[in-house]
Amino acid sequence: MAVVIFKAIEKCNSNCIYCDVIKKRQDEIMNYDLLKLIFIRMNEYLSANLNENITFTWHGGEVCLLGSNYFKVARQLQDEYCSETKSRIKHLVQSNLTLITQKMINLFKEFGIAQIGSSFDPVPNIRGFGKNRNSQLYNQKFIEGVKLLNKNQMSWGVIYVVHRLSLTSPLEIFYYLTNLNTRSHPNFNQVKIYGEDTHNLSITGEEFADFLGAIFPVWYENIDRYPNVQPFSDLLRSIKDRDFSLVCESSGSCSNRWIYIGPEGETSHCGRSGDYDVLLYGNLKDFTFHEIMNNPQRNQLAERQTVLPELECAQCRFWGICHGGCPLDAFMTDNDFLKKSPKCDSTKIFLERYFEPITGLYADFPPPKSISVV
Amino acid sequence: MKDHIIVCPFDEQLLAKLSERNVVIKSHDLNILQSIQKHLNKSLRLHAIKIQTDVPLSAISFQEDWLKLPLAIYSPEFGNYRDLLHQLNLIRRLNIRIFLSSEYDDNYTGLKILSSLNINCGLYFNNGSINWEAMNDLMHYAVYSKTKHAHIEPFDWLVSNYEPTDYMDYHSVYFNNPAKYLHVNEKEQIALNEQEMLNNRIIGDGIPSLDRIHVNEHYNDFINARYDIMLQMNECAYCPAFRICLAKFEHLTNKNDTCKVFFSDFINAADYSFKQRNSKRTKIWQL
Repeated sequence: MAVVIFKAIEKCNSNCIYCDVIKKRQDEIMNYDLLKLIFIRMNEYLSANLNENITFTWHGGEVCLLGSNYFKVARQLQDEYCSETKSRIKHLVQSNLTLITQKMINLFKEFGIAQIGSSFDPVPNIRGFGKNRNSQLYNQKFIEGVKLLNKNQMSWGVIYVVHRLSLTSPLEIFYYLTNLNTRSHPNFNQVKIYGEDTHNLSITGEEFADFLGAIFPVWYENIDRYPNVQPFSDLLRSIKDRDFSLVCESSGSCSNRWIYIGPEGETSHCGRSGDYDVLLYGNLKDFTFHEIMNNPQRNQLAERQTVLPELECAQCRFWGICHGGCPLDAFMTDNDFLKKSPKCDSTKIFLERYFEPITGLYADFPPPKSISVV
Repeated sequence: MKDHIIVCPFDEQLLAKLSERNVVIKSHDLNILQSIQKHLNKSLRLHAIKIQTDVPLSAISFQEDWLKLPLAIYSPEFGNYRDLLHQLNLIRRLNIRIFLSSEYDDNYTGLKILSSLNINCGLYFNNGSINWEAMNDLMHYAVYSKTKHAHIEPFDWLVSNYEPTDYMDYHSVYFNNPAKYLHVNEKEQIALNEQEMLNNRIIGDGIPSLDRIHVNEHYNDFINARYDIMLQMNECAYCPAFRICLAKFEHLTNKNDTCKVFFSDFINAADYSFKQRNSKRTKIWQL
């Protein structure tokens, strides 16, 4: 399955403290000619690959700034240019929900979208509008969006970015987020700050592991109540059931599956590489999906899976659930895609210090080559 | 949509207009049961009769002709056990739940006695105080005790209906959850619960407006009220048991020694019971 991260707009109405997108091309919105080209390119790709599907993620910036008409046009373009293949395009939306309207929801439904991914932070002034990050108003607008989604029986879930101010109250944050939405549970991610840490929000891998470790016993004791908290659920499924359907950064298989498309048709590997202007694969006007998907730069990402098990990750018993982590993390830290992700530290600490002692499970998934040595 | 159960006074004209709906008749007068008894043959879809009396339970004279009535008797206190003793056989034959006030400490023991005598019962909360420790003890008895006993509310309702990933409003037990029950008075005015009716906070007029309740702004605000708590970011928003309490004791100043302890234990009991219900037990081989 191919995954398209589509940022028709990078502008956002919020000023979240840890966000990089806000620093980018603020005023560009993809024009309709380029939008049409995307659907033509997707149709080419799907027509040539009859067993393939595309997950098309509307991302931003804030997608709702596009206005409902933009989605209406997109729907018409899909009907016109993907008439035979549209059933193999699955649309997803990532939005902060503060601008969502009934009209947009109606159009999302037409795209078959039943759930929306979002983000939230109960810690004041982390996510918010304007220079001072007015989180009170932001939260009000967010809840209005949530109510509208509930009214339409659409589900929603949040990513929670763990930063320095989160560290004092992991359980409170966990309870807040699971009280806010009892059905779809949070996905905890470590804040990523590669430039200057102006607001002193950066945390170490160990701090992130300890944050997760404070929540994990409560989660494990009450899995029925909090069934899908990440990264716990995926780790448990992988280690206990040996079911390794992992998220992109741990899968080790992102090299030829992902495409980022920006507002001017520029492409890159994924949302993060697009944000950081690395792994640029050229403009959609000049290349087909097939060409972009097979851009030679992707080889170094695939190569990690043979190089890392020989070097940094040799005999690592966590390899099967990590695969060296996100290549972008490695590049942003070491300027080298053939290094393991620094997130490795937090994964190891969390598993050894909390997950394994509490569950009694033991992760033993070394790279294939190490197995042959043993 | 006629999915709400209507809580209303015993008023024949009103009841005639509610003939297509399930109703709970509420009153403060036990004598009204005779009149309702007579009304039973007509087109009355009776869900329950709620009688809130000032009389202690032991002083109520239970009647044989109440046998056909679905009764919820709310009494402030248990009273004298010896006085109740001679009525136990009759009470056990009635279709009844007996509720005692949380205000008096003796009632917690009284409910345990009623339950152990196989009489369905429960605790109700008025404006008086709650003995949180005694209530927790009672909840533990209701949920965990292996001794045969009748249901004690609201514990049994919550534990039986508990879905771990849903919000649960145990005010359903008291006919005060507007997602399921709406209150209507003789003037056909609609309120969201008993307290709202007492405070004259009317959200609609006329029986036909019941069919449009899902688009009523006040109704939807009330249904979504939990989000206001989340926005206020107060202590309840961070409580592990919020989903089963929904900030009903938000006004308490010391939550750590009161509601938070109780509801945390209560949600754990509900989880325990849920696991028991859904566990794949070994089926013993058959003789």
